[in-house]
Amino acid sequence: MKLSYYPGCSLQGTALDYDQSVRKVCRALDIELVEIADWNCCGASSAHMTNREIGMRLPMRNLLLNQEEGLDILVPCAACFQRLKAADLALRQQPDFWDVARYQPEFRIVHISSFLASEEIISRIGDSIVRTLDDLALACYYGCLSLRHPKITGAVNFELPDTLEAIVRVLGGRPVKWSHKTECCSGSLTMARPDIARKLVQDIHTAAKKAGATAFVTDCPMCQANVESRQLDTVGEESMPVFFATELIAAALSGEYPQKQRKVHLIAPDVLANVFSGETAREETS
Amino acid sequence: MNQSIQQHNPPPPPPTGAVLVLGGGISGMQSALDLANSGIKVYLVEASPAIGGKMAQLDKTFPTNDCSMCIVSPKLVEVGRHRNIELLTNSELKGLDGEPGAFTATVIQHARYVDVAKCTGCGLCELVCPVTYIPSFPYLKEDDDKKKRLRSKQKQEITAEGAIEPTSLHKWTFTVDEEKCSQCGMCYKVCLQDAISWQKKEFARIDQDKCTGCGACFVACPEKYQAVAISDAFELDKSLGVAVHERSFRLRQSFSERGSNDCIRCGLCAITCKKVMQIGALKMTEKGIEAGVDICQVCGACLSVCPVDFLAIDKVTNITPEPLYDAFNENLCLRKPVNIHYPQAVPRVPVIDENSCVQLNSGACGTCATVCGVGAIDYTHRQNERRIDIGSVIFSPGIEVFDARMRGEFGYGLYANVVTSIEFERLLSASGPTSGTVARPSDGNHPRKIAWIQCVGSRDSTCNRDYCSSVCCMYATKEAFIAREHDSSIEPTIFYIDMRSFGKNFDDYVKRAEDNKVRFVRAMISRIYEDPQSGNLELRYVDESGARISEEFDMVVLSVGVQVPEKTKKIAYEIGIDLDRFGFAVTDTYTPLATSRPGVFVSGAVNGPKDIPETVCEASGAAQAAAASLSASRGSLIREEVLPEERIPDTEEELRIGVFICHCGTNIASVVDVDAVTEYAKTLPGVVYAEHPLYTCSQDTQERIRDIISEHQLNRVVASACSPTTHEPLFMSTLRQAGINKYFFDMANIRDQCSWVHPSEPEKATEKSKRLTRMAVANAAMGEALQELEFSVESSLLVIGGGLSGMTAAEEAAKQGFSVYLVEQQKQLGGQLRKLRRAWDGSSFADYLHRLENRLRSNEKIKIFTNSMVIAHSGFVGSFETEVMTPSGAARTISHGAILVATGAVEYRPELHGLDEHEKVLTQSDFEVFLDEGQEEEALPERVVMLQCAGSRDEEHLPYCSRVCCNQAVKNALALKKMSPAARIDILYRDMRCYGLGELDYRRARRAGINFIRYHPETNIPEITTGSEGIAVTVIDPSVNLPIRLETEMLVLSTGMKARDTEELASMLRVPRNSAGFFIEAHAKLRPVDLPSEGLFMAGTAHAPKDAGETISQAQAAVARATTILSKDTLQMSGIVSTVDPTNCAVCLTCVRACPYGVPFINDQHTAEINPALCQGCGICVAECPAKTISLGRFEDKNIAAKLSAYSNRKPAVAKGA
Repeated sequence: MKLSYYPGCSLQGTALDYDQSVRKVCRALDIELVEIADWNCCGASSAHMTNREIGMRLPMRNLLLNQEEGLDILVPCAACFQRLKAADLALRQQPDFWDVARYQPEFRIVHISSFLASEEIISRIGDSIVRTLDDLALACYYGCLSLRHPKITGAVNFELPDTLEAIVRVLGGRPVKWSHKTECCSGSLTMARPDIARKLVQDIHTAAKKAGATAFVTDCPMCQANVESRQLDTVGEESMPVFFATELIAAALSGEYPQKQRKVHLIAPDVLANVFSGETAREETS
Repeated sequence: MNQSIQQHNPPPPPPTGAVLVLGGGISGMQSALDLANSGIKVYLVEASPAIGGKMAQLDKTFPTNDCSMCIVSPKLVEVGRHRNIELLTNSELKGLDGEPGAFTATVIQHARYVDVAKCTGCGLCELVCPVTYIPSFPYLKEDDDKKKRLRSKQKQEITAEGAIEPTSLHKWTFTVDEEKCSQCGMCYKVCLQDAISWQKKEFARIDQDKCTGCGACFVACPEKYQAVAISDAFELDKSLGVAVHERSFRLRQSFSERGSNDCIRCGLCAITCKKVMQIGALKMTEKGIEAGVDICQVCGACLSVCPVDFLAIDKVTNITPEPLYDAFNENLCLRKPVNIHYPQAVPRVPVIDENSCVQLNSGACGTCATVCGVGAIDYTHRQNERRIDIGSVIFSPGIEVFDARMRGEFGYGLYANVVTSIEFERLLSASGPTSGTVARPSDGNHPRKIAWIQCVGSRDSTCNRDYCSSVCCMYATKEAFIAREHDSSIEPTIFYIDMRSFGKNFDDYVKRAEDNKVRFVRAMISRIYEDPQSGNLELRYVDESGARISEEFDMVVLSVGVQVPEKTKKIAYEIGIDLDRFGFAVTDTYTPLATSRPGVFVSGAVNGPKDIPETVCEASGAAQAAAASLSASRGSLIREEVLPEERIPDTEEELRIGVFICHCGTNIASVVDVDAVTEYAKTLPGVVYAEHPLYTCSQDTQERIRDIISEHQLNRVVASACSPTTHEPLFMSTLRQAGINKYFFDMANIRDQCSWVHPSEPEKATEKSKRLTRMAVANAAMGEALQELEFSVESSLLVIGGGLSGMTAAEEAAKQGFSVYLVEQQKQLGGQLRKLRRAWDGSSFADYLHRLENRLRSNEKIKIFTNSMVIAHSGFVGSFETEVMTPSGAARTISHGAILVATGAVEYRPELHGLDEHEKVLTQSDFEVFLDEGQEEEALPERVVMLQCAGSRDEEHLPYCSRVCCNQAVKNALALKKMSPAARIDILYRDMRCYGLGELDYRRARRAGINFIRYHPETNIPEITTGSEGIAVTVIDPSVNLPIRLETEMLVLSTGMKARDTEELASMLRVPRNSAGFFIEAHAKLRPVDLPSEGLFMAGTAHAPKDAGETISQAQAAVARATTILSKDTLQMSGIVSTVDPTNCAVCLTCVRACPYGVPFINDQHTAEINPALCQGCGICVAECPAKTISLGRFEDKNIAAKLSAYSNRKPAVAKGA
């Protein structure tokens, strides 16, 4: 299997480890990733808020670049996914407006967790597991951008998605039942309105805790960064780490959770480390 | 022009005098009854195993809180036993060929596997069927037709928690047949009781003293030898499956008090698995049971036969079990593969489910066939196809509820305590999965705070449900109301957008609910959050002050909308009728019940969302429409009822009374000890037979009563059940069918008067039931045979009122072949519709009225009296005489068989906001005329304010909602917007009641930029000033929570509809009107166009406000109801009439004055006389007569005295004064 790959800026910066785990998982599952040559910004963050045209033309360029290879594009970042989907929709509807003669590509833009949870890939994962997650109780957290607006993302189950749950289940973890999986994490407000951000993250934390979760799992780099960091100044000691789904898969497929992974988390990922190294791991950290 | 061509053609062959009605819900049943009662043969095709539809699933009905099942079951029974209705249940319409009048329908009858003719509905098959899950049947197809012996590779032991104590209660005896024994010793090896002696090359022997009868030896003995035999087991003569059920049942009774669920080593699970299901996955071990989890077929039989509930499905299999849900109970509980659709089902005949029945799939089991005493089970049934000739078709397949999973934010299907409204109906229902206890699905606890969320799958364009489902506001109010009746600690809250209680008496009902602590909050809930620990649900909303509120509830009910099922759309496509984008039938304003295919008519919610009375009304209307073209063949295909000769009892004949004490499901039996009442009844004098059926009114019980009457030679029958008002006619006709006079019957209402009113005092309720039964028995003992008068029917109809409804009715009745007299007070026909201009679709009312009037005037069967009025009225159903004053001043007497009151209503003109003072203040109708007069663009107002409920829903004016004004305002606003797109229109409203498809125009209006501003008659009253300087309105706009001032050119008032003055007419016809002057129907739910007096019907706005389409279908309905009388040659009157014994008559005129119907008169013999045909049997004259010389059959002194005496005496004796 061969896919185009669009990492976006997060995966080259704050979520560098996300990029590494995606590549690692794909390698393990015999999926070849071809990074779109000369890709540029997806148009999220400042671009689409500043100027609609820039916000659209940036992702469009990426799509047009991909036309040559014509492979489905795998997108791990929820914001990138949402922008690329929006650009794709706009181009399909009105190519002339965007100065494109013809735009009817057959490739699809796929977000990472719906890709991984697809029937074929999830059974490949299931077959390749070296070490299960030992019933680890996890709160699957999606945030908003990979799902909303459904007219753009094409998500069917946008209110109560379950792709992350499917992934956790196949890894031998236990997804908890909770209602906050698509609640806003306040990622876009975290700098401007930290007061709101603290409250929303606290709500999400409380709900996950109540449901019996010991950690979060997500597929959005903004959620990962925001939920981890904002827990620190709200719930402190009670904070739970936020894992990327691919981080868990990589661990389960390799049978180890390397020491260096600890450094990418603001909150100590002991719960997962313990699964892979037992009591010794705990002693080392304490 | 068509006519002139047709004249040269030979006369067409007569049409087929039969109609196919598709759908056996309340709509199909009503159509079928109206047709069959007017001489048309009916084929009623229903997809489910029994008729009844959605109404049968409901608990109570709004706005009267009548029990839905109680009011529908007489109809079920009537349809079931009607000789001119052929029921085709479990069947589907596949195709329709031919032309109107000569269709041929292809109907597929699915295999039922139970013979409807033989089945008695006893339910034994369902009781003994051991299957409780949908089995996986992994071992079906073997080439040599022989199953391989199954060997399990994965075994799991289910261990008991405590010590296993083998039981030998109800023990079976096992012996070894030496002739068959192969001396293999298998039995010896498995016996855990050390009861078998065996050595190599020796026969095994069972020591009966040690044997506990677990049957391990029986299971272990190889199939090819079968040397271990059961020599003694109850019911084994039927089959092993039945014997297992019997022992299990008895053991369950013996062990019911035991605290532990540990295995008792009865062995029934292993015996069933191996010998009944032919799997053999279970084996008894020292510590419990060993399950071969990989070979289990997941039928659940082991669980259902286990008397102590030791086993659990997830312990015996590694396959995810697939529960077999009970669809009638909305999948809230499980059912068996052989299943009677619901307790009162008609026909009460089970269907065997092909997917889950073990016998049909693997060939094993077959227990049900062996237990059936009449041999009704037939596994060889196959689907068959029938071709049926009919003249017309009525399409009334009904609706389903919206799939709430499509609104993921509410978590339906994931959060256990979020249920749909139809599921909540089943939770409220006495025959539902919780026997009427309101319990949370997650833990069975009683919820305290329950929230209803309105408009789930209604008024929602994001999921193609743009329309309003019309019924949810009312049913949610009802459910909240009834929930509190069940448990007064419940605190219900209804979250709504607009309260659409637009029907007759609906606002009163909502008010009553509010008084009864049902809380209404105007807010839309965007999401539900579940507390994963408690299962409670958090709802967040913004209240009317704009505050964000978070509130926790124990349970949430989603008020799901109605929708047309995909299957129905497919049938519609196949028979070629057009549907709109939602699946509702496409019809025209003036022919609201005709589909796009001629000869196919539509009724019920598939013709747009509607409630029960509207559905019943349409059903009658569709019956009329379907029969109109078939009137030439009326009576050609029907069978007349043949009743046995009535047996005249000897005066000396001993009393032989039969008493039937009804369980009414659990309605009665959950409170009253029916066993005790039955035993007591047997001790009463004259009683020779007593029993207590589950439902006395069900069809099978009725048939049984008939058999018992002849078997026990009964000459009196008493039913202790529910209300005589609804059920007495049913019992009486059963008596008559059994050949005894129907007045040898009495009824005690032990449901309404005992179980319902004394639920917390079961002992006293039982005592009272005994007493009421005793009184009924005493009364029945005094019963006398009464004769019913037969007289001929005048086949013409008098229509009073020449508006839209009267004119429609006249034309339709003429099509049915009856003469019509149409009396109109005004000089022109057309009534209130003359004041309106255009229908929703833009067509002109005037054009339509003009065409209709021309047709009426050229119809020979219709005699029109304009400028005329009814001045005197006499007679009785089938034979009325009415005097009409004609313009010449002469009175003309008309003889007719039925009356249709269609006196209509007028637009209300209150003295409000300068109406009729200020030239720019108009009513909606004025405004409609203004717009229609082809205004120049300059003359059109640039700014218009419309005020809804101007004088409606207001105690000082019209206290009720006039139903049509919201739609009319939207229609007129859109019309102005079309003519002058720049016009600014503000509509001030309380609730926009654009019900049904009217919601689409409402949405269009909002999108067109028309402003809708909500006001409140107490807290946000619009201040309106009208003067020479102009019109100004100040009101708080709730969307910004600030006062706004609207200066407008024109103020349009939606004033509502007011009944015409019909006081004189009502008293002449002796029919009741409500306080607003609208006529009161005979029954709010099921007889919406019948007036309470026999032979009188009504249609149109005389009944309540309604629009043109609704008026037309109601007129058609009223004609259908009248046709059931007019189509008959003769009618029979009730036998309960007053008679005067002239001997003692003092000619005091008391009776003449007292009679509310004006029946008694003084005859030429100088004595009072009562015409039995006119007498209504009310008994007032009997009570008033000072000489006690008037008597009323069935209510003689001796009857009353017997009842009173029986009341006071513990031992009833022959009456001797009270």
